[in-house]
Amino acid sequence: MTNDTLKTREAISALADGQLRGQEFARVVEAVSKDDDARATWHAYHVVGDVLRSGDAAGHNDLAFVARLQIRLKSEEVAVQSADAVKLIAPDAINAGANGQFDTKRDSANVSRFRWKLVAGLASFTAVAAVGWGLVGGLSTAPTVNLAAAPAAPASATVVAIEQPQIMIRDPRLDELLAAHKQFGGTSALQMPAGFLRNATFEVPNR
Amino acid sequence: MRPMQITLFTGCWLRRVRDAALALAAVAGACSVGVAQTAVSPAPGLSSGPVETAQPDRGINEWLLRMHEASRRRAYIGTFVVSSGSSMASAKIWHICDGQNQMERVESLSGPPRSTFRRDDQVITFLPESKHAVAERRESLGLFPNLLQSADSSIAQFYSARQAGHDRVAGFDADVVVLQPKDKLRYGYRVWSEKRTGLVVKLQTLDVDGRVLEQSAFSELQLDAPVNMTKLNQMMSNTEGYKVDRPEMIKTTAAVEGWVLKAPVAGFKAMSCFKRPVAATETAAADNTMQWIFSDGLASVSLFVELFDRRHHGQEGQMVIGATQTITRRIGDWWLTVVGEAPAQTLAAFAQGLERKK
Amino acid sequence: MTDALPPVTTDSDLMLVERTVAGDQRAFELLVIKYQRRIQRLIGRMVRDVDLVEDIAQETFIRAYRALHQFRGDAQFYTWLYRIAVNTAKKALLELKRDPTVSEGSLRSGDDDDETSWHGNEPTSDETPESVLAAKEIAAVVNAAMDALPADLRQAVTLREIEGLSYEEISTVMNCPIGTVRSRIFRAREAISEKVKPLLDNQSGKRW
Repeated sequence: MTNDTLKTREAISALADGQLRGQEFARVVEAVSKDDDARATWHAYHVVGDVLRSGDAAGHNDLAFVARLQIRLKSEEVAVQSADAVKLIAPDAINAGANGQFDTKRDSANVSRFRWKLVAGLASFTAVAAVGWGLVGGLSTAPTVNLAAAPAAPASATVVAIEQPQIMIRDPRLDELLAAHKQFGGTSALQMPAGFLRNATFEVPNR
Repeated sequence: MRPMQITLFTGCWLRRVRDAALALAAVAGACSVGVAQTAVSPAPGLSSGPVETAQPDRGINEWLLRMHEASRRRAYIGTFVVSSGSSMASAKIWHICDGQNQMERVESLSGPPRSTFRRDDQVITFLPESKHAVAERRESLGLFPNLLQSADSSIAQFYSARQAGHDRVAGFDADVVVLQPKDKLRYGYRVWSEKRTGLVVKLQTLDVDGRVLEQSAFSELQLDAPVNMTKLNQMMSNTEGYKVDRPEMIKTTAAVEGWVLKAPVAGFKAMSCFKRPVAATETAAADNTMQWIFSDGLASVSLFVELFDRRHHGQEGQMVIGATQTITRRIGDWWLTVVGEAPAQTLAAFAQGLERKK
Repeated sequence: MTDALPPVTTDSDLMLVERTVAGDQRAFELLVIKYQRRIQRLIGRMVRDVDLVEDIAQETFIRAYRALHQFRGDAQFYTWLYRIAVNTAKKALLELKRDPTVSEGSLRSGDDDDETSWHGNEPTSDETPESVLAAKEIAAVVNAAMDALPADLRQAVTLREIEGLSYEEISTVMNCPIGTVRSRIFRAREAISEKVKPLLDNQSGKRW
């Protein structure tokens, strides 16, 4: 066994106990999924833990289970994509006309919606710094935070949406404007870490 | 992996379509609140804490300056997650400053891949999937210290700061500071400021009832990290294989463009104004879109004005993404879109106040 | 003996969840490998048919994957996953009861829905004689390997896996630096898993 293998296994043991952070964490997560030995190690360490705790063993079919799950996850993704597209195009009696409706049939070719002056060839919506995300249904019901209470160690407040979403639309033009608006994040003290970071972070999967 | 992100980050604007009459009624109400008041009571939900001391607001400027300086001066590498409702997006960020220049790199971890590089106010975003890159100058990034130092700085007039405990974020001890608005025209913030450096490691935007509209936080962070500026420079300059677009943005003033805000919205000062040329299409003539930016020091609002076009501009309405509100309105031959991280009534006040110059 | 002991390490779980939500599906696999046995054992108390147990376990993880963005880290990940498993199993049972072709033999009695109930030595999800034997063998190997460990390694891994102590707590109990704790736990795990690995998944799945 190489020294590297041993070091990776040691890191996997640490990962199992929540000891890794940052780059190391990312590296080991990647190793476990790519490297058979690393995977087998993560698996074995957890089987050992389970046996020690419950005296009960299994584990001889585990990776087959995972393999089967992976196949399902992939087809799961495809199903999700179509469902959401349908929901988003939902005919909306209130929205008469071509305003803002995301039309999958036309949009990919419809340059006229994208009103910034673009260099030729940059027709794709995703090429513009397009950002945006929506208040998806299914609100969590976390309690509101009482700011006046000023606890010594504030619990991390759950992020909630303030109102029930009624209608959801996708509007590439609005995304453009939002991007342009975020570009000027320098006007705020709370750039966190830099105003344009938020611009760069949010994406609309335009599929 | 993409479709998973559709579930999570459905890029939807939430539209709450309102009766035009209702919207106007709300605006009328908001205006009288916004303009008339000078001394104001604290917004409900963000109710008063301890009695204010003799110099309460000097504190907020100090906090903010410290946070701002840390974000400029410190080297760090981190993973950054922004969430709102059930949506989340994240990116990895590298930042370094060599005393003179700053460099930053942001790699999206969610959504379509993108790499953004910044050197001071030069920014370029690479989109690997389409092999396009967008380069632009963001001159506003150096603006903040000037805001604080200017004689008529109004942040302290409209917000107060108080420390609200301690917490730990991404392995770092942080002071929790609540920035409380003094009126209903703006949101509040809860800021986690890393103890040693002041770097903002977590930030929540809070509505008038104290509910969290949006949260940004580092999930992993390495402070004083060994970021290689030369390497970042190289990556930033390497546009090989990419078609680089430099969108045109012309600095102007609202007055020159023919617009005026007849009733200013308390606390918000005009910061800058740009116009972007818009190409003619089969359905529309060539145009300019004006963007007029306002800020109260913590929140910003943009007014976008373009020619009204029946084909594209239909319903006046109000939409929301996270902490960002937007309302659209027709003004004569023009179409206005107001975008900002402020309550709807504030945006409505802007919409109500914008007027074509005589 | 019930699964009364809490799973270890929520920090790690939360980080893996966040990473998955951020776009790295591989991080989710790590969570699956970590919890699949536990979840299958739990479902196995409610449902008798082994294929059905596995199907419900698969469904549980799919539903968890879809709902990951709703997990806020304000509770333990396993608790959240547990509830999804119970709900998924209950739903499956309801559907089955409506289906006249399903024999009573697939189902356990309704009382089994109670998450605290335990039926002693009933077999785990996989009931073929072969697999029962394989499971017993794994348990035997683990126990023998534990006995063969040097005392300090055995103590470290016991405190971590069975008592659920943190590295800091273990370093206090054993009066040694945290680095030593980490090393001892690793060496213990390594020694035991070397013996166990040959018994795990050396075929690509006997079922099909």
